[in-house]
Amino acid sequence: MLSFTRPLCFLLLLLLPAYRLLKKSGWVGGLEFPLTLGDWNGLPFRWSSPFMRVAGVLSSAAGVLGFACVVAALSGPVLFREEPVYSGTGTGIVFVLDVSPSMAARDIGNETRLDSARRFIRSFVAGRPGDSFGLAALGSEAALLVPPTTDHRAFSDRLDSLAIGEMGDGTALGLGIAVSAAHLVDRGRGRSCVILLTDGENNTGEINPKTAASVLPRYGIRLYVVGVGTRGEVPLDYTDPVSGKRYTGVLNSEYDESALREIALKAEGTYVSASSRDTLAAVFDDIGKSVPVSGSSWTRTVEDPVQYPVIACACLLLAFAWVVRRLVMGALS
Amino acid sequence: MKGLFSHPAALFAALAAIPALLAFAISFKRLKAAYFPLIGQSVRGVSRAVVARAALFAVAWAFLCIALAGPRWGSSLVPERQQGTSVMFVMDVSRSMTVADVPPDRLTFASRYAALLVERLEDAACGVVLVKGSSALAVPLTQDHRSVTATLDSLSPSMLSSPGSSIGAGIKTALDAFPASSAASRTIVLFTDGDETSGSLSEAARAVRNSGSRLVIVGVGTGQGAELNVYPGSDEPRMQLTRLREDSLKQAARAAGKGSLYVNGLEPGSALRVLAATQPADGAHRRLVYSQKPVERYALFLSLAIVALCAGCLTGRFTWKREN
Repeated sequence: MLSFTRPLCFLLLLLLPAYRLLKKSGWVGGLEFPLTLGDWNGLPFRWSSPFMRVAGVLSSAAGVLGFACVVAALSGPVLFREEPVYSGTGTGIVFVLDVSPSMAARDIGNETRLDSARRFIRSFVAGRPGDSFGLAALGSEAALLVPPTTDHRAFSDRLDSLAIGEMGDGTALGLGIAVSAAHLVDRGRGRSCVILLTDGENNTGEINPKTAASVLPRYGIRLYVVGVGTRGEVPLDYTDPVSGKRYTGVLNSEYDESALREIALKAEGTYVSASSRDTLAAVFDDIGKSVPVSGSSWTRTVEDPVQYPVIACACLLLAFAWVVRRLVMGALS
Repeated sequence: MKGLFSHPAALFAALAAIPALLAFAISFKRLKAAYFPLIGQSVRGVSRAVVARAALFAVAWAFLCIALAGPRWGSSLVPERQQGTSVMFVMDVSRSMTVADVPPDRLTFASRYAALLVERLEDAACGVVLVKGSSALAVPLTQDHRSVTATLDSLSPSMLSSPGSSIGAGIKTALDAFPASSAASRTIVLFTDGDETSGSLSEAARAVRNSGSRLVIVGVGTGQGAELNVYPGSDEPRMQLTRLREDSLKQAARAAGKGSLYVNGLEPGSALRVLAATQPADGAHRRLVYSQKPVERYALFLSLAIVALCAGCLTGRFTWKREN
């Protein structure tokens, strides 16, 4: 909401009609050098060029508007907005992202599976300013990249820099679940969840995914397993970050949905399949509904001063008025 | 300039008055040469009015540009309600921290000291910033203290490649890492020997004061110091004495405002003083803190611009009327 800290300053706008009156009475106005060029008792000299008349009107209008802008800026324009403030760390949500090469398959709209998942994660995080988000990545290894944090900028920066193949070629689902759970166990029951986004079945890693998943209910950690991608032949294009080699071709996408379902079952969690942009959106929508959003502790009123754009407008308008009067119309000062 | 003005680049716009005045002077000179011989001295009043008006309009323009540059001086206190605690550990990992004048060496001493504090800060969100010639956020604010202690355990000068020591950059990274929407108190605990090469510490300390945060500096090292080989890879070692620079660290703590303090890490009970500074005395973890906000002075210069503008419109004509 726009407000003014010194509204009385608007009274200075009365100077404009006062100037008009003074001008009519002859006390102020343009400075002229007397030089009679016409006949005695003849008509005085007037601008006859339409261009000059338009220039005169434009210059006066810019001058008046410029002055009004100066007065408006002096009145202290501010925009007030209410900003939620969070005193706690909310629910801890760790995304476990599969970054194996198959996630480079382009079968979710025009995007790769990883890019699509990344986009939905970003919008999910943006809608939950009071919650903590963590990020783990899995390939042939798994690692926690960002611990559950309320610093959403740090989370988003690392999410954006995540590259396919950076954790090796493979899918260590068990390691991914175990690593993320290890950093959530201290948060207390019902205050944490793991969202696993993968397109493959477990094929490496020291920990069996079902074993890792079975530990989660003991600590009150909810597990959501999201199978991303379609089945059949899909185009694939990715560059290995270690060797720099580019791989292109067609991937025969087959993954065992029942294995993912079993992992979710072991954790008393939920398995959902997302084969298109719409279904992925619906999946995130459903997860959003089942994990309550942490409310703000209170709101604070924030003042955003907007005087500088107004002063800049005033400078531009007054400079325009000067240029038209002096350079176009040939006035002296 | 940056401290006195929020947008100092706008001051360059004031220079536009110079070519404008020059253009005026040239055209006025031409007019005088062509016109005055025809009518003699009777227009002296008009001449003065024209010059006065041009000068006052130039002054008004200069004041407008100064107002646009956002002049600010002095400060006012802004109250802020806080609940909860967040602590960002800024760890100096420059090579001088590998000196062994405190057992086993400064960096290991600092990391163990910080890990001990993390253990005691049970409900607080903690994070880690590494600083050398540049700085990096190693662990964002989190209640997952395992991640914090794991990072503290692995500290080494090789974690950052930039040479030198810019402690101020680390403090600024820490300030930026506190989420704006969080109500938690903001404390930066800096572990350093004060051996800085960029001279950015005092400016960063002032930024801490303006943000309503606290800066707790833990000095690591001794006044006697020890020698460090500044060219570790070369055949001819060049030794340089590095010692704890307590004076500059104490000065920075003072500049960081109320609640900030300096402690020597070797002093008995120093950890308790650090903990007391990071957590409020009451159990509810609630407090009202005051941050310092610079006072904007643009209104003063806008008023002066209006006065000069009105004077330009009126004075010239009055001079003319009086003299004719």
